[in-house]
Amino acid sequence: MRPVIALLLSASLALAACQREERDTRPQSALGSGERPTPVTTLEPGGQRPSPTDNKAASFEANAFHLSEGKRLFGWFNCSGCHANGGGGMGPALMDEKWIYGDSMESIHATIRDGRPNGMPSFRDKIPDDQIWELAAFVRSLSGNAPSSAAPSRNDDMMVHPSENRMPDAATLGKSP
Amino acid sequence: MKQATQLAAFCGDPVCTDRAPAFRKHFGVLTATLLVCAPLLTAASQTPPAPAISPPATAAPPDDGHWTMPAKNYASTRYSELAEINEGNVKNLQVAFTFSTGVNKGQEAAPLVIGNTMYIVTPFPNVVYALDLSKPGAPMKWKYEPNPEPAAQGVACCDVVTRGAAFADGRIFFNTLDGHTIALDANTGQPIWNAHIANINIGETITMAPLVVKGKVLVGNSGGEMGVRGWVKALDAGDGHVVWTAYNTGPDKEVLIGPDFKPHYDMDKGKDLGVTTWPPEAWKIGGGNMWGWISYDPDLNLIFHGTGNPGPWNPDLRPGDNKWTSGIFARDADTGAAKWFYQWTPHDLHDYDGINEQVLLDMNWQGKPRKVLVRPERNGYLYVLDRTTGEVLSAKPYGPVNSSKGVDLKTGRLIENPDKLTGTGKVVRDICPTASGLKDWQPSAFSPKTGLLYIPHNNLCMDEEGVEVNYIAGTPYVGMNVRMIPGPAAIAAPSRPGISPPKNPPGALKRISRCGAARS
Ligand code: HEC
Repeated sequence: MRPVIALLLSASLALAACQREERDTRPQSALGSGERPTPVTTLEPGGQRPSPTDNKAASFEANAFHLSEGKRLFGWFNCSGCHANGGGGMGPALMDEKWIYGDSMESIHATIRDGRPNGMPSFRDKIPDDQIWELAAFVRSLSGNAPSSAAPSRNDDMMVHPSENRMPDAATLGKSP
Repeated sequence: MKQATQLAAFCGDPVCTDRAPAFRKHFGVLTATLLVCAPLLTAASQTPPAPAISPPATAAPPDDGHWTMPAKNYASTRYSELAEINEGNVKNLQVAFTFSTGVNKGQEAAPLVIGNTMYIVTPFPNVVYALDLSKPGAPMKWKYEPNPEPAAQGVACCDVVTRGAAFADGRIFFNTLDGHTIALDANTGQPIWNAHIANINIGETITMAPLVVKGKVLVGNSGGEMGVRGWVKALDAGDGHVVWTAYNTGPDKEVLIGPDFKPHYDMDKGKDLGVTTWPPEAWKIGGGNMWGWISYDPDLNLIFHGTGNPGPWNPDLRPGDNKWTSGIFARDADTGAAKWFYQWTPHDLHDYDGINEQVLLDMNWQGKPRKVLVRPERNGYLYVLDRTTGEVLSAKPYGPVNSSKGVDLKTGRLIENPDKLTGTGKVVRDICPTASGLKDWQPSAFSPKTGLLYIPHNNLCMDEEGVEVNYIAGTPYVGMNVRMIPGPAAIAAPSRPGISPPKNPPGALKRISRCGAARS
């Protein structure tokens, strides 16, 4: 009896270890896809926030490949310049716990796609939709909102802040609430 | 020789006084050290003889009690002759009134005072206030709200500041962050004209204070971190139409370089250098902006203005001297035609914008009277130039400099330090001064009484690493990671025996290391 349990246990462990994350290396390339109305109010009768969830949010978040792609794009699309590698400059800091427009994948995706009035440009005609999701996932990792097993690790370059997989959750600073 | 040597002397001796470090939110003044370099005084207690160095009378007329431009006068001395407040009674000063601009951003604009009215222009949203100084509490006479586009805040590289307004002929002239120059009736605050001259969608903003010269309002653009091509425009003070535009990169025709252009040094001679000293087309997105100060010499009828850093910061993307960035132009005040040019920092490697103030002075130089222009430059040298020709008479560091090894007075060229060359994928450490310079835009002042130039300066160094960067109009075009670090400690508190300043001033490292790409 006992050996059977042990065998089962080790088999399930081995199975879990084999489960690799899915890597979608050919993201949807169309520009302007994934359109859905941006909520103009956070008030909704019934006590719910009208946040149109997208199944893409879940599939891009916490995915190591998408996070590292997001990191690359963050430099390539000059996000890093305005947001000073996340520390804040022309644009607000992205590594703190403050969010003007919300911390959900959907809100950040909407921010990048549609821009925001006080100077965040709209990238809808520059960045394909799936890459916007990758950027959104990476932005969340800057404030420690990505599992350390998936977030990018150290750069080959001069580090201007700890690598994303070492960033504490900005809201709790690593402490449990 | 003697005078200027001392004027340019690096102060490490008791004539320097040290001021409490003033920490600012962005990369302005970290430590404001007041450099007092005495040209003539041997003992401080002696009454100084009439200085043999003074601003030209036409550019700095006797004080009339008004303050009509940030620099006080065309010579840019920023010196007031008013003597009511003195050493004896300064301790009795009390708050007469306070006034909140309502904007919690960098306040870089000196107020103007004309008669009994004080004029203030705030950072974005660039509200202009007129306060009545004749009444207790200085009540507001009027305010004017230009309502600039909020999106402009996103393309202003280094805070949403303005460096002030100018008064002339009953009008207040000022610039808005989103690229408008506006003329107001100084009595009523009613707008007279509004000229839209810069485009935020390509990253252009305007932060400098205009200068009014002979019925023309001189304005330059900002955007050296966004791949914006720099220019200076002259607008008609009457109706705001653009009289001339002088670009700081590109073909001679657009730079307003013509037959009158006589640069002193060979390195600035040749046809269309604003094109040929760049890789193909790079001059179109090459910076050289004019967000600093302009001076004017009525006798020579010349205006003097610097030019900003080349873009992007990563120098590998722009081999060549990158004319006419990080230099200074003398231009005809009526037509804008260039008279001479001198490049402080050819092929700039460290964001040494060349837009600081230039103080116009007349002095004896090696026994001969010379019309000079004194410029504490970001690259760390205090330059004395002959302002009729652009010849460098002296260039000496006024603080710790290791990014270069001096200025060759024969060729006029800055001597690069091969150990501090930046480039893609290369980390270069301990470069002094830092990107915002040994001194940034915060202007100096000259006292004709003491003959001293008072320089507020920074003491910061940096590590840099060039990275790849893509040009996307309206987004940063920098390509450099920067870490700022405190400068050599000995400099922070010169000559105060027994007191050693902290190695890392509290707050300095922490704040600075969070910012990957610091600009100014
Ligand atoms: C030209 C400068 C600029 C560029 C380029 C830029 N941003 Fe922004 N960003 C801003 C500004 C300014 C804001 C604040 C907007 C506001 O408050 O309305 C902002 C806001 C944001 C926010 C919202 C933060 C919050 O607290 O809710 C996110 C997320 C963001 N940017 C991500 C990005 C990403 C990702 C990129 C690159 C694709 C990028 N930004 C490129 C200037 C910029």
